[in-house]
Amino acid sequence: MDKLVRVDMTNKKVTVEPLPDKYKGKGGRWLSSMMVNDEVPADCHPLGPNNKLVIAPGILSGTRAPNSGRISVGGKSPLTGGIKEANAGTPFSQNLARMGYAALVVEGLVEDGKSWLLKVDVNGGELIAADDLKGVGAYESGHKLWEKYGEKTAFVVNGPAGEAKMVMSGLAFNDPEGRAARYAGRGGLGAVMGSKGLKGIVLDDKDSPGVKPVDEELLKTGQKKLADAILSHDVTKKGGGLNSFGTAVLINILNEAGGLPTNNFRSGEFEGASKISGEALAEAAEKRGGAGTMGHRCHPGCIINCSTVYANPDGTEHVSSVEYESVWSLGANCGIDNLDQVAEMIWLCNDLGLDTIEAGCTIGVAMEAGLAEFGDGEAAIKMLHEIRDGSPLGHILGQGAHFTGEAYGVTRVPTVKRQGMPAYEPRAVKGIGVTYATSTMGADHTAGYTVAPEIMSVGGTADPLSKKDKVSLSKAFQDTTAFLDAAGYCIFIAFPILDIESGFEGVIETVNGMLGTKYDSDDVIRIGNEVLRLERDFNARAGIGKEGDRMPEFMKYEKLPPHNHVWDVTDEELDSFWD
Amino acid sequence: MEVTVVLYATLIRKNPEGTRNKPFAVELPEGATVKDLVEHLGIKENEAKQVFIKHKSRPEDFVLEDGDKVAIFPPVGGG
Repeated sequence: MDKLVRVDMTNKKVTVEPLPDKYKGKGGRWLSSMMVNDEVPADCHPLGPNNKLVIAPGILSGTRAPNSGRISVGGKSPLTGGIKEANAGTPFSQNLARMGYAALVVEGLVEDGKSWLLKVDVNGGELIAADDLKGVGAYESGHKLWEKYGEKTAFVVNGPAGEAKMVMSGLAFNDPEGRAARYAGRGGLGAVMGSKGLKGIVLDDKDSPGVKPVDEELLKTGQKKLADAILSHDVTKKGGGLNSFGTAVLINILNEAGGLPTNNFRSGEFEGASKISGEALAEAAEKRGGAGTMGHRCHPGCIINCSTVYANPDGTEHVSSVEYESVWSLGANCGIDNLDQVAEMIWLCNDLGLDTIEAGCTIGVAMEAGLAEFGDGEAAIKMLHEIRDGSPLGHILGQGAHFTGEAYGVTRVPTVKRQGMPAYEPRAVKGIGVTYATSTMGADHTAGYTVAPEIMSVGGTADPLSKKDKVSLSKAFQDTTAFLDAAGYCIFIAFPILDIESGFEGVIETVNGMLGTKYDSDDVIRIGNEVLRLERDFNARAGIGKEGDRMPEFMKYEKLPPHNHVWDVTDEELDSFWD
Repeated sequence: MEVTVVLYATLIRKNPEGTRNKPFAVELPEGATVKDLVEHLGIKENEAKQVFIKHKSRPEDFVLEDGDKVAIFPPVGGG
């Protein structure tokens, strides 16, 4: 991976450049955040000509290291106004790495109002007119690309919401069967791609040189250690919780812990939780048969297989994948316990190009504003159609929870840095609240998943209701996660490597085998922290300082049932995160 | 005394015939603990990773009370 592809949308010029020395040995979030920090003026308009999209495979993408197929997308976020890195598990990452490209950089913007497709092969890339795909849903766009370019290609497409520059939009990468369903969802990167006039990117990896590890044997040693850890840990093994019930296996445990945000963060307990849980998904897959699948994978080389396919009552495919975050946001957070309605909303979000977390948070705020009753699934579906139709209401909703809250005078708006909160109530799970507040990304659970020790007793045990030591816990998680995001590893390898030491050794050995480095566990923290600090540097220059690291005020005075806790981590304690 | 038990995730196979993942009642002697209940249900110790009663994870020596609703989870994770 010693080259990068640079696409100048203003002049419709595609060039292949050698990767500058300073970026060698970097990958994923490390590389995308570095390049955004270096190349994007922090004060630029996120939808103007000076923002860029940087798309980078992880350091290990394209190797046989398990679960290493994460693609990182970086840019300035039109949602938060700060730096954004969103990642997804997809064959796209592996193909891009095998083609020898460390990054794709999309810059400038077209001035002709037309849609363009970037096609990349080992010799470089070209821009192809794609007006036939303008306004076409992400699913159909993906199908058309496979029809035209073949099922061996990989792609990313932008949905109609991104094309309309709605900041709730993400980017849809292909899964192994060609569904445009693996989302780098958060922070409005679809709107950035839409602003540039780019509909999508197709990779033809024919004649790829493949990746060449510096020390093949060390990579293999690490690969085996990590695979053994994943396949022996109860959470990630075959027949374990994730594999059998998908990520939505968390619905019931968060509900029992009183930490499942319900009805726009009014309660931590949802009466209908079991109806939208992983157990309910597995039961539907069994009873309905047909396309319904548990244990689906998002990319070859994944050995956890937590993705799902949800079937209609007649067994035909409804949507893939039904994830914890999505069934929570569009289900419990809106008071909706009908899995078929939630599945329809996920399908609509995927096709429109919406981040399901932001979509659910926004609908929750809209319900709070009185646009519909909590629990009214039909009304929620109608709101997504408003976004599809581009109505004035659709444009308000498409700008996310913060904007919708402002438009309707709502004070109970669950956002940090204007990004909607994920599926863990910070008043009931304090460590993840610290992560929401301090993450450079806005409210983001993946940035530092303290839920593992707080709720699941993985990687130790921490009382979720206590704020004690949560800043240092979040910091340790955020540093380590940034390294995993650089490597291209799926965050779920954290479960086995937190509990099984040889698994963590495997992570370090695979990276050292690939790069020829001699990183140790201290370097993992050091590098991760370096990534966070450069992201924070960007944010500071974009006008987001420590004042951005704050929880919504209502959480400080509204007691959350059933525990009746408020958010009690002080601002000074949050600020100590960066000391 | 009687407690109501809910088993989740891979533990649903331990549910009484025909109840799948629905709650069911269990009779226990007064003073029974979480550990006693788990043993009574034939669940191996390492399979009952988390036991929630009244919205909190409880240790194995936690003494049950009549009417408690007990939620038992195997190791789970996600996100």
